[in-house]
Amino acid sequence: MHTNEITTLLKQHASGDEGALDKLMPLVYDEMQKMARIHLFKEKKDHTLSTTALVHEAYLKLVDFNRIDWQNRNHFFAIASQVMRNILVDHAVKQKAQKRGGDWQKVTLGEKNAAREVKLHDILSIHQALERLEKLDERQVRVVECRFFGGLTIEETSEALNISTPTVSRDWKMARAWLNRELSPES
Amino acid sequence: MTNNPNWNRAKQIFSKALELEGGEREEFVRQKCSGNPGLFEEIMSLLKAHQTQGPLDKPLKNIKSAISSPQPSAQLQGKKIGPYRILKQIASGGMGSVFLAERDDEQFRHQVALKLLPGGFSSENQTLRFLSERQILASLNHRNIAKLLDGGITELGQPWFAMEYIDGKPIDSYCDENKLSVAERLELFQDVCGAVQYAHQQLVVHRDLKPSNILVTQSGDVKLLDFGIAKIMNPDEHPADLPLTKTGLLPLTPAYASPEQVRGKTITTASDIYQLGIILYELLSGSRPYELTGQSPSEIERIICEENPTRPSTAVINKSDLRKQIQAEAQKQSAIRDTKPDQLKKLLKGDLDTIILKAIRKEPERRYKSAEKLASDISNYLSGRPVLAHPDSYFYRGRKFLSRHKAGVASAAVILILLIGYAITITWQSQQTQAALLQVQEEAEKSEQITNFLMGMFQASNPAEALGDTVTARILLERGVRQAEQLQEQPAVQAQMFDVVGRVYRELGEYEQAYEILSLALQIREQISDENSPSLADTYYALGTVLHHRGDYRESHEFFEQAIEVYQQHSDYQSEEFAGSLFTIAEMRNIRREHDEAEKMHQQALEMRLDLLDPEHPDVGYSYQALGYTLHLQGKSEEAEAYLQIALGIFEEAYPDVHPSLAELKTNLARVQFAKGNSDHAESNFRQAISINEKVYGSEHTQTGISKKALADFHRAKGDIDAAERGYLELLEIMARQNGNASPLRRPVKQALARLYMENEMYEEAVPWLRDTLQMLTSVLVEDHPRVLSARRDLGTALLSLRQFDEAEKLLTENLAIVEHSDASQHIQEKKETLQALITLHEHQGQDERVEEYANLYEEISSN
Repeated sequence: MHTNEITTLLKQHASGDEGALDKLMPLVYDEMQKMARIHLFKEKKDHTLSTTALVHEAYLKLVDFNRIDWQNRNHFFAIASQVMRNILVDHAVKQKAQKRGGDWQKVTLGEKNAAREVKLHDILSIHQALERLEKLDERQVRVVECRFFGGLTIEETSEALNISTPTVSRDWKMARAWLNRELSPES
Repeated sequence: MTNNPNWNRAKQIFSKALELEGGEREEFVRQKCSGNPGLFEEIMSLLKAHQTQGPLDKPLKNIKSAISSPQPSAQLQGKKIGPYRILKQIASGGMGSVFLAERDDEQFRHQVALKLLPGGFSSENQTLRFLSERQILASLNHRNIAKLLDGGITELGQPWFAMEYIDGKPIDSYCDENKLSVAERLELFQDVCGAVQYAHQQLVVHRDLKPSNILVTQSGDVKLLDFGIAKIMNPDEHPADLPLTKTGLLPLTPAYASPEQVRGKTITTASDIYQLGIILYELLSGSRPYELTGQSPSEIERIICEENPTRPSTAVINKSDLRKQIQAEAQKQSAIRDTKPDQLKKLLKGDLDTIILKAIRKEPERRYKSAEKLASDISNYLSGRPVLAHPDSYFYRGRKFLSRHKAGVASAAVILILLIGYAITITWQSQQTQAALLQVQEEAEKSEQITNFLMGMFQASNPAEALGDTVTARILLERGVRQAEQLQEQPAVQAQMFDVVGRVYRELGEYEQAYEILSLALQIREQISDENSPSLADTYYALGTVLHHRGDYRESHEFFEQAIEVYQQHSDYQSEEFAGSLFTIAEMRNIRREHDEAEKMHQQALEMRLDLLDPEHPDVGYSYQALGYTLHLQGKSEEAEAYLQIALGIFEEAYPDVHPSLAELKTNLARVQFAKGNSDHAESNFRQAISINEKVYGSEHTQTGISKKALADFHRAKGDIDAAERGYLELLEIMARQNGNASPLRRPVKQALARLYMENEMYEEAVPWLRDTLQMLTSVLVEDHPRVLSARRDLGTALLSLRQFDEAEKLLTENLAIVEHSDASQHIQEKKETLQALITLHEHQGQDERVEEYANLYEEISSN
C-alpha cells in the first residue's frame, strides 16, 4: 500500500505544493478503483456499496492517520470525491465504447433499481454538464463532487474545501438547479 | 453559456431569491434584473429547475450496478478462443473467469481449464497480474502443480491461457468424503508442502493457498491451482511484478489470510507457510483457528493479528461443553477421520498442536522456515521422532507484542496493554529498590493512581465519541496527558504517568510527542528523585532513544552518557536499558574512532545481555556483531570473523532467510573477509546482502543502496576503478530520481566517489564531490569532528594538486587552526597530515620560510 507516500503527498499538498496533487490523484485513483472492484467480487450476497462508504474506507486504507490532522483528513475526502467522479466516468466511457464495439458485451444495468438510482448514462451526462459548469464556476463543481460523488455532508464539504457552510449550501443549491435545468429532457 | 459575465450577479440574485416566497420571488428578480432580460430569464429558469427533481437527487448508493461488468459467460458458451471451444464456466473471480474448454482439432481431443481476464473494467494492473500468472505457471513444472498448456490474446484483446484441467475435489472435501484418517491426511498434506516448496524454490510465492485451490484427483494426486495472486520474488525475470509487492488491497480470503497479509505488509514465503498451517489445522480438526464469520473487516484484522488461536485439539471438542450441536459436530468430524472425538483430541494434542501452531505464528520469522521443514516435522511425527516445534512461551509472546506494535495505529486494547505493561514493570522495579514500609505504601498508592489514570483514559472511549470503531492512539494519549497534568500535587505519580505515556508515544513512532512528554517526566524526576536513581536513568535512556530515532544524535548521546553514568553508580547493576545505552555509546565511540573504548563497552553490553536474555536472543546477536565489527576496525580480523559468525548463527535461527539484519551482518562479514584477504567470500557475501535487501525493500531503497555502496567500496579497495565508479554513480542517479536531496546515503556515496578519484589521482573529477561532501558535513557535524577535518583536508589536497594554491592554503590553514591546540588522539593524526599538505603546498610555491615553519611544527608533534 502507498499509505506513507499518500500521507506525505497529502501533507505536501496541504502546505501549498500544487505538484503533489498531480502525484496524489493517480495513486488514490488506482487504489480506490481496486477497492471498488474487490467489493464487487468479494461476497456473493448482494450487499451494496455507496460511494460514501468507499470514500471513507479509502481514507482508512490509504492515509496513515497517525500522521494527519483533521484538516488534512477532510482535504483527503475532497480529493477522494473527485477521484470517485473520475472512476465512475472512466468506467461509463469504457462501457459505452464496448457497447459499440464488442459483440457479447451488452450493458445490462440493474433494471429493478433503475428508478431509484443513478444510471451510468446519467453519470456521463452529469460529468459533461459539470465540465461546462466548471467554466462558469469551479468552486460549485468541487461542491458537487464532494456532495454527490463523495457523499459528504454540507459540514464535511465545508471543511474539505475550506469554505463556510452557508457558501457550500448556496453553491450546492445553485449548482443543483443549474444541472437540473441542463439535464432536463426538455432542454 | 460559457463565460457568462453575469454569473456572479446571477449567483447573488438566485441565492437571495430562494429566501423569498412565490410571488415576491419573481418580483425581486425582476427588480434586480431591470434592463437585463437575459439575466432575468436565466435566473427564472434556474429557480424553476430548483423545484424539480434531477439526477443529483438520486443517491449513488449502489455503485455495484454502476461499476460491475456483465458476466460474459452465457454469451461465451460455444465460442472459440484460440484452438479451444468453451464448454461451460467453472468459476469466476476478481482475477478472471475460468471455463471448461475443449481442444477439438482433427488429431486429438482433450479438455482444458481456460482462464480469461474479464472484459470491461480491467485495469492495467489487472492485465499485468494476469500475464504474470501466465508467466509464473510457465516457469513451474511439477507433478503437483497444474500445468500451463497454451496462451494467447483474443480478438478483443483479452489475454487468456489454458491449464491442465483437473477433475478433482478440493482437498478438504476429498479427505472427508474418503474418510481419510489423520495419518493419511498428513501424508496427503506433505505432497502439498512439496509442491509449495517447489514453487518457493522457483521464487514464486502463491499467497492464496486454500482448500479450493488444492485439488485431489480420483487417483489421489494433489494438484495446486490458481497462481492468480502469486508473486515472483525475483523481479528481474518477471517484469509484471510491480503491483504485487504488497497485498494490501488484493482480494484475499480472510480465513486463510496471514497477519502480514491483512496488514498489507511485505509478503514472503512465510505467508504460504501460514496458509499451509491453517489448511492443516482445518484438515485435522475440522474447524478453523479463528471465528471470523460475520465480523467487520477491522475486527477480522484484529483477530488475525492479535488473538491467540484455539489449539486444534481444543477445537475438536471441549469436554465440559455439553451442547448437543457441538457434540454432534465433533462426532461427525471424528467419524470422517475414522476415529472418535476423544481419540481425535488425544491424537492432535501435543506434537500436532505444536506443529500447526508453529506454522501459524503471528510473526513470520517464527514459523517454519520452509514448507520442506514443515513437511519434515510431520515426518518426524509420523515416524515417532521428536518434532522441532516448541510451544510458544507467554514471555516470548509478551515481548514480541511490544515490538510488533511499534508503529502505526494501535487499537485501544493495544495501548491499554502497553500501558499496563509499563506500569507493572515500573511498579515492580520500584518495589525492588525501595524497601521501606512507608515507600511501599506510597508505591501502592501510586499503583492505584496509575490504574485510575489508565481507566480514566479509556472510560471516555465509548462508541459515541470514538471515530467509527477505532480510537486513534493520538486521541487516547492526548487524553492521558491532560489527566496527568492535573496531578501536580503528586509529582512522583505525575512523573511516572508522563514517563509511561511518553514511552508509548515512542513505541508508536510519534517522536515529537514522545520527546515533549518524556521531557516533562524528566523535569519532575530531576527535582524529586535521587540523582542516582535508576528510574531517572531509564528516563534518560528513553529520551535518548527518542532523539536517536529523530536523528538528533548529538543530543541523544548526551542522554545515553548520562544514563550510563547513573547506572554505573550501582555496582553490578544490570538492565536492558543499561546494555542498550552502552551499545549505542560504544557505536558512537567507533564513529569517533575510539575503538578501544568502544570494545570495552560492547564487551560489557554483551555480557549484560547474556546474563539477562536468552543466548539466542537477537539482541545478543547484535552485540556479537557490533563487538566483532569493532575488533575488525582495530585490525583484529581473525577474532572479528569469529564473533560475526556467532552472530550469523543467531540471526539465521531467529530470522527468515530474507531479513534486513542478515543483510547488514553479511555486509559486515564481507568487509572482514576482504580485510583478511578472502575476496571471493567477501564478494559473495556483499552480493547476498544486496539480494536480501532488494527482496525486503526493493531495488531503490536506501537500505539496498547501503549494501550496493558496500560492494562499490569493495571494488574501490580492490582497485577495480570502473566497477566502483559505476556503482557510485548509479546510486547517485537512483537517489536523485527518488527523493532528491533527502537520502541519508547521498553524502557517504559522494564522499566515497570523491575518495575513489583522489586515490587514483583524478583530482579534477574529485573536486566537485569533495566540495559537496565538505559542505554537507559541516552542516551536520561539529567543527572539530574528524570527518569534517579530513574532508576539508582532502579538498585542500586536491586543489593543491590542481595548482589552485590560494584556496588550498585557505582550507588547510583553516584546518590547522582548529586542531592546532588540541591534544585529542583523533586530532594528532589530522594535524600531522594537514601539516604535510601545507609543507608540500609551500614547497611548490618556493616559500622556504613557511616550509620550515610547518616542518618544525611537524617535528614537535612527532617527538611528543
